[in-house]
Amino acid sequence: MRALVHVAIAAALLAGGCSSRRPTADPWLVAVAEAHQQADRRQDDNDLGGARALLDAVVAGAADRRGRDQRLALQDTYFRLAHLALAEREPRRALAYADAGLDLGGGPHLFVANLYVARGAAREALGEERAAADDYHRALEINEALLREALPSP
Amino acid sequence: MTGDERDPDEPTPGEIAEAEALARALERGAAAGPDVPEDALAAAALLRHAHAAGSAQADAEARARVAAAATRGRDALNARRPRRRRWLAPAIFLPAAAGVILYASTLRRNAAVNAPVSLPPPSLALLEEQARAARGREGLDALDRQMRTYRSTFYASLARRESGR
Repeated sequence: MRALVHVAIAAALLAGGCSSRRPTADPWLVAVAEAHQQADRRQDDNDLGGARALLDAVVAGAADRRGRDQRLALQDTYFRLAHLALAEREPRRALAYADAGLDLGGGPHLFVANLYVARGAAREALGEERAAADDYHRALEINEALLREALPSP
Repeated sequence: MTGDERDPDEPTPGEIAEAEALARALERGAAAGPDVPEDALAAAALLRHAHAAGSAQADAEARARVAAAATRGRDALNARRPRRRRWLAPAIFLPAAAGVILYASTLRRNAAVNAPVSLPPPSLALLEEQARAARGREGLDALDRQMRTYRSTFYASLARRESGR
């Protein structure tokens, strides 16, 4: 009887620890992906304000998000927000979005290059030609590195 | 009384030498000198052997007494000690082992969730659009449109990581 009790206790603990339950995805990242899809539809309907509101909500809910994936998702969202602001002829707001995305740091990634492109466009719209050229240059540097990785080596 | 006259009760120098040699033989079993009589040496050997046998017997008796006392003490202690609950050992050990396994598997699962996944590489078309946009704002709309495809690939790769482990 005692042996059965022992086996039952051990089995219950092992079942809890070694179950095949899948790890749940970060719900915030799932929500971000869904928000981008909805923003696509709003944008296609020319509802730029609606698309921006969706993406603004993503940024607002991103407090103390850490990790590479979360940072990249945020940087991509800031890029879209900057682009939407430029489309709405709000370059200063676009500049703020791009700055916020670049302030998150990170290496020479596609999303970072996009943010330099968006900031360059915002500065260009603001008449800051020299600063815009610097941002475009940085974007091109990253782009060139990514191209080298993408092209098959001879 | 002259020097040549001596008391007949006093031992002669030869007798003194024999006595000393015998005493040494009795004490240590030392090698006998040439002037020790054979019968005295045999007596000394017998005496030493008897003494040694007496000591060994006394030691054996003492050891037996100690062993008997120890046995009686151990029995008394065992009689007073509560009965050991041997079933408690596996009752503690098994859940503890299961807990260790649970903890290790939880750590491994958390590490799998938090480990960064390799990101999908951007397509050449996307990189070309990005390069075009980086030469002036005109290409930003096209870049944004190309990003839709990459974005869906990006989030799909994150989802695959979660479901693939």
